[in-house]
This record gives sequence, C-alpha cells and structure tokens, in this order.
Amino acid sequence: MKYTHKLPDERVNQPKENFFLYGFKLFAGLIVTVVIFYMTVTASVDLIIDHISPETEKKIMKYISVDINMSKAHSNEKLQKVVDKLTVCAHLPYHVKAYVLDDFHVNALAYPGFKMVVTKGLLHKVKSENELAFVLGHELGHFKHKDNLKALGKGLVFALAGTLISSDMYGSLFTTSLSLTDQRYSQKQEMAADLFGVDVLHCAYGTTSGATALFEKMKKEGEGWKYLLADHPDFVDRIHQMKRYIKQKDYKETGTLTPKEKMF
Amino acid sequence: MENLILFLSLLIVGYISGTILEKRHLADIREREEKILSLPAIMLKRPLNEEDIKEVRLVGGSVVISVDYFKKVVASLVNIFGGRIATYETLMDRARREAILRMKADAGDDASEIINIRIETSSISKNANLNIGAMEVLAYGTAVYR
Repeated sequence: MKYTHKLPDERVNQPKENFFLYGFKLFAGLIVTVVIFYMTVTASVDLIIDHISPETEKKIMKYISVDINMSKAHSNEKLQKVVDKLTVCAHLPYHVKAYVLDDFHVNALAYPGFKMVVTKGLLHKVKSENELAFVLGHELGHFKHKDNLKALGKGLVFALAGTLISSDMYGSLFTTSLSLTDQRYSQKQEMAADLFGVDVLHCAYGTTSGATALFEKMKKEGEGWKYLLADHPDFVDRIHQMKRYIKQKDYKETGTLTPKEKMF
Repeated sequence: MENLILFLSLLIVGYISGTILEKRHLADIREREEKILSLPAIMLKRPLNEEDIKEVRLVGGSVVISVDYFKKVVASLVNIFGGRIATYETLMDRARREAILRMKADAGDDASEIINIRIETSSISKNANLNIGAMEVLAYGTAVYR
C-alpha cells in the first residue's frame, strides 16, 4: 500500500455562497413571511370581529373592561348627556360611560368595556358643543367599528406568535418588527371613525358645522400636537377627506354652533 | 428602534470581522498544511509498515472556534426556513483542519506517521442563557516513531 500526500480540496467542503447575499435572501424571506402573516392575521381578525353579535361583544367586553383610574378621572353629567345624545344617533346597542380625565393633553380615548375618556385639555380646547360632539362621535365610531376588539385580537395573536418563537433570538426581532407596523389603530380605522363622527354630528345637530374645527386648530399649531399625530394620520388628509364626504353626503355645512356648556 | 440599530450594528461588525478573520485563518491553515504535508495522517488501525517501530503514543489537537453574530443570525434564519447552514459549514471545515494541524504539531517533526485518527466535535453553545455559539473539534490518533 502506498501513501499519497494530498492537500484538502477546498472546493468540496467550503460553501460556494456569498454569505452576504445568502443572509440577505433569508432576511428578505423573513420580511415577506412577517408581512404575509401580519396581513393574514389582520384580515382574519377583522373579518371574525365584524361578524360577532352585540351580545358576544358585550360578554367579551365584560372580561376585558379597563378600570378607569378614578383618582384622576371622574364621570361628568354634562358630558354624559352629550355622549348619550350621540349614542342614539350612533345606533350603538349599549350604553357608553363618559369620564373626564385630569390631563392637560388634548385627547379622547375609547376604552374596552364601553368607556370613553375625554381629557380636560380637550374640553378646554373645543369652543363649541358641535366641535366636541365630532370628537366624541369619532370615538363612538371606534366602538361602532369594534376597533378596540380588533386591536385586542391582533395583539393577542401577535403576542402568542412572539411567545412561541421567542425561545430563540428571533422572537424579539419578530415582535419588534411587528410592533413597528402595529399602531394603536390603523390610519384606515381613524379615517373611518372620522366619517362616522361626521355622520353622528349631522344626525344630532342637523349640521356638520364645527366638524373640522379642532383638526384645523391642530394643523395650525402643528408641532405641539406630536403625541396625537404619532398614531393619527395627517390632519390635512383627514380634513380633506371629511370635507369631501360632507359634500358627497350633501350634509348641511353651515349653521349656528351650539355653545359649549361649562363642564368642570 | 434602538434595538434594531444595535442589531444591525452587531450584524455589520460580525460580518466584517468574521470575514476578515476567516480569510486570515484559512490562509494560515493552507500555509501550515503545505509545510506539514509530508507527515502522513491516516485513519487505518494499523501502520502501513509494522517493522522498525521504536515508539507509539497518543497525540491530539483540539480547537474551539466561535461564530460571529452575522453567522449566528443567518443560521437562526435557516432554522426557520430549513436548508443547509452554509455559514457554519465553512466554520466546521476550518475547525477540522485546524485540529488536525494541531495534532500533527503535537506529534512533532520526528513522527513517521499518525494512524487511527478520530475526529470529534462538541458544541459549547448548549447554555441557553449565555448563548455562546462556539464549537470544539478534537482530532486524536496514534503517532508512530521509527
């Protein structure tokens, strides 16, 4: 037997791939997978929740109802009266409880459990009841379109998916990339709530006068409203869309504004 | 967002440093392999020629090589989709050849051959908390001196 000296042939055991391209292809694959997953989950959750009955919604809401911090927020009769008036126009099958929150920021939020919170900052900012009614109508729109439940449903699925794969380092990357795409409500939902607010305003006051007033102010002040802009689509777009909708529906645009009652 | 920036920075650092180190290591391996080529290293249980053997002894070489961040991320991506982990293949190839070179170095210049070679690998990344991606390759055999 004869021994032959031979150097290892690197073409056999060394991979031929360019690692950068190889990794890039895999990343692209991951992104496509995440996008498809996100779109599928969003579409299916929306579809399922759109078809659940008000009774089921009430049952679910009982479990996920958010407790409002009563040391900072309190119910307000006058505000409740306006909300009740609008709820009739919104054709909601349940009662929405309104609270005023001690906060200087201008904001209104629809909470799971049919609770609505309006900040003192917002009540200061609006100059007429119509202006306030539009914002409340917008929040009622979130209830009407079950946006709360949809956000919760999606959140649950994404959290579950994150937990399932979080045993490796990818879990965190996956959830980070999802949270980047998952805002509180989508722009589409915000726009739909705006139009619903316009409908409710018109139904309750017979005019859409004052509908865009708050957004016009926000647009002018710009910078100071960053916290609201963060998850709300551009005000210019929203005002434009609302005006187009009002024209399309042939709603009355002028009329006397109902003066705002002193609420606190 | 900060996490994403940190992740991308680690990825770039891992890719650049990993590529440079790998190229250097491979060049070094090639050079040493050529130098030490004359020492036969075989898997046969018995020497080619059983006459005139003065001494035999166990020789071994082991090496621990770590993966860079880029390779690790690519590997975990492959974990999702399945397929060959090409980034680890080159790592294993380096580790095997380095271990054999060290084993030959252990045998010394006066060895006539190394027989009955075995190559074993073990992973030092089992501790999930530390998450150190490293692998050990151990090559050992019987050095024959005439």
